[in-house]
Amino acid sequence: MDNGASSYRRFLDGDESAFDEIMKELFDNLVFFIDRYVHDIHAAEDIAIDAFSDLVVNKHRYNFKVTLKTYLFMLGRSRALNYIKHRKVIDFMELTEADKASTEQETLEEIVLADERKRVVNDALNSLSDDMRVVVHLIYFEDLSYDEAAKVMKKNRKQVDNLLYRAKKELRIILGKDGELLL
Amino acid sequence: MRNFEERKAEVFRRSENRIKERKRNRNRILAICIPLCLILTVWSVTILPAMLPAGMDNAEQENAFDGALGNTESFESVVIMGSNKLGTQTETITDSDRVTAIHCAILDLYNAVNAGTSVEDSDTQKGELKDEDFAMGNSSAKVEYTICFTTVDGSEIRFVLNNNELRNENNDNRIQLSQEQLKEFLEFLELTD
Repeated sequence: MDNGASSYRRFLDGDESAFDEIMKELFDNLVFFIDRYVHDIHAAEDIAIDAFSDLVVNKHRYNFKVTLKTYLFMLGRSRALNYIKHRKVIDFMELTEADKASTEQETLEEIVLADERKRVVNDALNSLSDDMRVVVHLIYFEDLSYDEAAKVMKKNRKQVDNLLYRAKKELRIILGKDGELLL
Repeated sequence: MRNFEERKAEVFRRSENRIKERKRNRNRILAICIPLCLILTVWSVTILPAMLPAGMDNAEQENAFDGALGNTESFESVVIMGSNKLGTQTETITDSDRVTAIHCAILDLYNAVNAGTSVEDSDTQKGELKDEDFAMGNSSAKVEYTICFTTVDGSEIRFVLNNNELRNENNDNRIQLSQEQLKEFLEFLELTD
């Protein structure tokens, strides 16, 4: 499994259908990941679209040294942080819209977290700090390796180890002993 | 949330916009930089030379002397004072051609000695002056001359010829002349011992 690298190569060679495969495989996961940062599903979708458009505009920036998924998540994270930085005011929305956003979020969760166990862990993640939440998401939900997660978060392997250790410790408290088994 | 086709269309729409924006920015930069370069070129070719100080063109620069040896054109006169077996001599030369010629002769000696060659072709192979060439020669009398150039602004550049050694008193730059060079130089100065 090369997480989209071979599809991207085909896209660079001119096969537009390869880009469809990449989007189908990675788009929802990316939105879900970005939502961990921005807590706004519509903004997360927007940011994910921008990240994918980076793949189209800057075709040769990806050097295949990491998986395409890792690269895309790196792009998504940096755009998400930029969005948070420039978001000056809290957006108010109508209650009906909030309901809709909440429903869409749940739908996305159902798509990405087909596994019931993952849903349980996902619910518990909200009580963790941002970094811990992100590292658990990357390693547990997205199946990235520790090194890949470190690249996405722009940290070193040791820092990722520490974050994950602390996250599990806290989840143990939240979920109880049975919950630990879910990880 | 958008469906798959909408997302894909949005990705390509934004990509196209970004590519167009990039091209537009590139054209804008070229539109500014190219005229700027042209203006700079025209300015440096036409206006800048006029702003530079007058006088020193390339030919003059090539002939310009080391500052300590002086600029030939600025000399007003030269006084040659000396003592040899014939006694003490003082000669003041104000003829500009002669002053120039004497100064050039001194510079030629410095250049020749620094380059390691003799001033003119002689029986001795160029660059291979022997020790006896630097010897005093038959004359046992000491040769000492002071050659003092006076510039138009009143400053002086003094050279002292002491036997085989020619020394610039202003910067203590010394050279050793061969017998051949010394003889030719004294003949040139019309100061044979």
